[in-house]
Formats: sequence, structure tokens, C-alpha cells
Amino acid sequence: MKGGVDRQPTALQSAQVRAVLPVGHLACLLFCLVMPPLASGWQLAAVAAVSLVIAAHAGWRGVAVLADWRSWALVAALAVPAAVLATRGGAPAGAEPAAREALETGAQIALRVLSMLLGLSAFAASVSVAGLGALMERAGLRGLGFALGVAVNALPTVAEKVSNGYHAIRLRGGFQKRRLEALRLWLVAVVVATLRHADDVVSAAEARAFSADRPRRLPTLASWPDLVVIVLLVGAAVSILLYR
Amino acid sequence: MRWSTRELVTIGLFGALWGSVEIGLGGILHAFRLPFSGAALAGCGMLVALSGRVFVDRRGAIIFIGVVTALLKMLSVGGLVFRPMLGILAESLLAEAVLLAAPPSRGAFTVAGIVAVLWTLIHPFLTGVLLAGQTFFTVATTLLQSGARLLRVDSHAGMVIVVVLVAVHLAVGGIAGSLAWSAARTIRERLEPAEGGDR
Repeated sequence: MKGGVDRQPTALQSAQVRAVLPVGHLACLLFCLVMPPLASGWQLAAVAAVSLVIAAHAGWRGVAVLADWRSWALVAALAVPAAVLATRGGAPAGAEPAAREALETGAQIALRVLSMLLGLSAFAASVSVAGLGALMERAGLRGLGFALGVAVNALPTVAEKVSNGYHAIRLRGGFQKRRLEALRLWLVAVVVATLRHADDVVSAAEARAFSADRPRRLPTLASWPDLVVIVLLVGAAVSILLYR
Repeated sequence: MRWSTRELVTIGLFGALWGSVEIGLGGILHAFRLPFSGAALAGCGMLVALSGRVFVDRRGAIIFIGVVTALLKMLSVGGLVFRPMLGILAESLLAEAVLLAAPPSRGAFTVAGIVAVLWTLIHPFLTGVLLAGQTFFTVATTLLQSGARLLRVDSHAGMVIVVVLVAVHLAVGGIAGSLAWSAARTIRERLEPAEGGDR
């Protein structure tokens, strides 16, 4: 199982980010999620700049979110209504102060959303499934790393079972009449297939003498570069928040 | 809390099941901007997570399934999914909270489904106000305007829109919870004699 888990999206880990381990990446993620709601005005521009540096360090996958039209659709969906509504508050619509206020409100929301998107994108691009599982295990969620590994490996198989079940019921006339009954039958078929697959995975794990109760050696989560990253991020956060 | 290998595998697979629904169906629903896509996705998620809770009869199982699903979604799509991720985690927490208060039964599953699906109405306020810095008024106005467009009524008929939205979410959540209970019980009843016979 372990080999299978390690073979999966660990490929996401690029050469540039090998020096920093999961704890450092977690600190970067926390910075990108916690700072945007705390910052305002020019502080937000600084937070967004740091987030961009973090994402760029994770490689192309870290900044690819900026090339995705859905990101900009999300930014527009959040920023435009707030900007439009901001004009209704003070001066008459069309007046210069109102337009400026709208622009500022929209820009602030856009920067907050972009910072968070970049942080999550960088984290997803930098931390492997094994690293993520180890982080969770250290946080007290014992066994989550194994469960996550099983899920990552089983995702294509499970998706295929869901699709096969749907087509089997649809080709037999399901989902045309008595849709709820068809949905229930689909759910039964999918859950039974999942449980059968679970039997196979458990047998395979037990054949390799795997036991979830037995303490396992977790991958290294932090080293000195992580400490440097944490100190730099704390310094950046304090400087940004103190800047007026 | 210690989990057996079988429980962890079942949690992982139900997480993968919910994840495949979120990634596959979620992508389609959001791409076509279909109405009530959040409620439909939460309903499907609850169908899976609550069914899983029958086969992993331990406290915290739904939260574990939710965490696996949220991480899968993050690994598959990247940073674009911070709002759905928070939604998945909140839904699983709420469903688990209901099942902590009441032992698993059809009623408890129905209430758990309703509470989790109703969260999709509150979710924009959390992400919009707390994370993006929007005002409560902006989020509420956007929600009412989209509800008015959907129901083809005037956006000033706020109460009507809210009642209809809540009713639809209640129905979706209730059906998901009840259906999960009945499907899981059916499977359990059918599988148990076979498992006994094997032994």
C-alpha cells in the first residue's frame, strides 16, 4: 500500500520546494489564509505580493491558478457585487468619491481572494499525499494518512463504479419514472461495490502485515529551512500589520 | 481514538466516493451554473457520508470521511477549491454533531442531512464576510438577487425567496438523510446473512 500511496501525486512536489518540508508549507498556507482577513488597504497589496512569492516558489502548479479563468470568475463574483453595492452607500452614483470607494472595495476583496487561492494552490502543489497524511497524524488524526492514501489510490476505481452503476440503471429505464427509487438503487449498487473493494484493500493490507494500530515511522516534517520560513513569515506578518 | 484497518479503508473509500461526486458532478453543476447546485452536491455528499456512517459505526466517522474528501478535492483541483473545502468540512461537522446528540436512526439521519444541506445557505456568509471581507448586506443582497432571478419574482419579495430557498434545502437534506438510512440498512440486511453463511 505504502508504495502505491507514494507513487501518486508526490510527482506534484517540484525540485524547487524540496528544501522546505510540510511544516514550512503549512506555515505558508496559514499566512495566506489568516493574513488577508486581517489586512486592509496597502497592507493587502503586501500580503498578495508575499502570497505570489510563495506560490511562485512552488513552481508552475503554484501559480497556475492565475491562468485559470475560473479563478477570475470567482474573484469577479465576489468583488463586483461588493463594489457595486459600495457605490450605493455614500455619494450619488457616478460621483468621483463613490467610484473610488467602489474601486477600492472591489480591489481589496479581489486581493484577499487571490492571496488565499495562491496559498492553497502552492500548498497543494508542494505537499505530497504522504506529507499531508503525516501532518494530520501528528495533529492527532491517527490513521488519516492511511485513509487518505487509500482514497487517492481508489479514486479512479470508485469514480468508474459510480459511472458504471449510473449507466446500468439508466439503460434499464431508471431515472425516467420513480426517480427516488432509481437513486436508492444506484446508491445501493455503488455502496456494495465500494464495500467489496474495501474487502480487497483490507486483504491486501493484511497480506502485507499492515496494521493501523502499529506505530509507524512518519516522514520527516520539519527541518531548519522550515524554521527560517516560519521566522520570515512571522516577521513579514508583523511588519505588514504594523504598517499604516 | 484508534481505528481498525477495515474502518480506515472504509473511511478512505467513502471519502473517495464523496470526492468523486464532488469533483465529477461538482464540476458539471458549477460549469453550467445550475440552480441549487450547492444543495444538490451537499445532498449527494450526505448520501455517501451518512451511508458510510452505518458501516463505520464510530463517533467521528463522518468528520473523517469529510476531511478525506476535502483533502482529495484540494489535491485534485488545487487552490480554486477553498470555499468547497470549507463547505465539505462544515457539512461533515454538522452531520456528526447531530449524530452525537441522537443515536443513528432514520430520524437522526434525516435531521443530519437537513442541517448539513441547510449549511449551504449560510456558507456564503462565512466565506464572503469572514474571508473575502464582504459586508453581510452585500452577501444577503447577492443571495436574494440570485434567488429572485431563479424564482422569477421581484427581489423585494425577500421573505418569499428565503422561505422557498429554505424549503428546497430542507427537502433535499431530508431526502438525502432518509435515503442514506434506507439504502444502508438494506445493504446491511442483505450482506449480513451472506457473511454469516461464509463463516
